[in-house]
Amino acid sequence: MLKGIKKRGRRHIAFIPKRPVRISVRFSEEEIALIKRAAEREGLSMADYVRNAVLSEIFASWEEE
Amino acid sequence: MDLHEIVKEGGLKISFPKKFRSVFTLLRERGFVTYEEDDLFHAISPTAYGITRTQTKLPWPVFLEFYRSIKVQNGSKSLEVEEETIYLKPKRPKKLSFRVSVPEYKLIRWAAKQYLLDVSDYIRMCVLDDANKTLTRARKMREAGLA
Repeated sequence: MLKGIKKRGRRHIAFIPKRPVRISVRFSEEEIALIKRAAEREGLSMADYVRNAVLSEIFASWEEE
Repeated sequence: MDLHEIVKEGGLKISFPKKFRSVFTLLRERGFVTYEEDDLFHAISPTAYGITRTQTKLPWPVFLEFYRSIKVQNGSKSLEVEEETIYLKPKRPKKLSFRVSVPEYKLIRWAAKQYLLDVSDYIRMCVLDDANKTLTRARKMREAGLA
């Protein structure tokens, strides 16, 4: 069974799974600068931005199919 | 945000002789930071990229000569003969970590496999593509006076 927590926002409830797997990816300094700018723009931490970008891409490619 | 602001003097920099003008035009059209100096062209990019022979419109022996003439700073070059493509990759000294759940990890591994990539390359591709789209959208909104 999946484990996680629930979090109440002002207009939504978020269900967040436990995240025991740590993934590390190497980037150049300029790539990091690019990601940092984009994450700031979206109001997210860099880790949240990377996770969202990867999972959104996977779900988007499913929708296309 | 401008690409110049991000790459500044860093980034993956390549230099090549001025006789390969078609490559210089190609890189400039792709939006790279480019400039000329003495008898060399220079192009700077924040990320990895590939140049195919057909894009350069060079015959194979000249394309090979172009490959040999490229001087790379902050990265490396490689040639895939079958694909007739030159790959340029920046040095990647920074490590970015994030946590995912087990099902999320399985999903990512599965998706990477569909693209015949390893997990790192797949994540890098998704994230940089998304960041480029976000920043391009932001620039267009700013230019249109919407932000």
